[in-house]
Amino acid sequence: MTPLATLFIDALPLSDTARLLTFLPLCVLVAAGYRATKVRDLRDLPLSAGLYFLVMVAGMALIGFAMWGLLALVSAGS
Amino acid sequence: MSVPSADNPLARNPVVLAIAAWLLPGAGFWLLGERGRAIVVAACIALCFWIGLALGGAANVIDRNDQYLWYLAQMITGLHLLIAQGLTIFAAHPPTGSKSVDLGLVFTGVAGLLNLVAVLETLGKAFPPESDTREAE
Repeated sequence: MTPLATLFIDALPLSDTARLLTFLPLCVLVAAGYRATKVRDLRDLPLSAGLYFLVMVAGMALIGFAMWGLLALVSAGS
Repeated sequence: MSVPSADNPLARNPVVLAIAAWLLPGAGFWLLGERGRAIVVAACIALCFWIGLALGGAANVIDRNDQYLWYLAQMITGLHLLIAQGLTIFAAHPPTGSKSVDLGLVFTGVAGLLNLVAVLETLGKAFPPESDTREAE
């Protein structure tokens, strides 16, 4: 088996921070892939995908902070 | 709205177009003559799927018994899943319980859902609804 194939066999050991940061490439790929199917002219793709990426990251950060705040409230109450 | 598939006999059949777009992500746009769009879509879906597989490992991520809902989403990536399924033969058993497995499931599942959007968008471009064509006229 080639070394390239072995890369995909077992899970990668990642730190918690690295695992959190993997959502950035996921957002980039979703933004570029999704907007590529939607834009009328492909020349608009970088701007359109960039905006979509920023909205996704901001939205996820907001949800993250909201959940963190909720957890802090519940922890303080109990 | 023009119908870009008019010069390609393969793209005139919705079943052939849908199967091609499902099996090989981006192939639907390619058949419609939108080569640039096809390359971007194919690259995004392939990267998303294979990054997920590298993160979670084939043995953990491709699991139709314990992760059947994710497996359904992964099936929409077509040939990518078939190749990954082949890799599971070489995997160590039983699967490891790494924390990265969830990431692998999300990446590969999202790749499948992206291809679902691409398949539907391809069919929508090739066979626009009656109301769209009337508006364009």
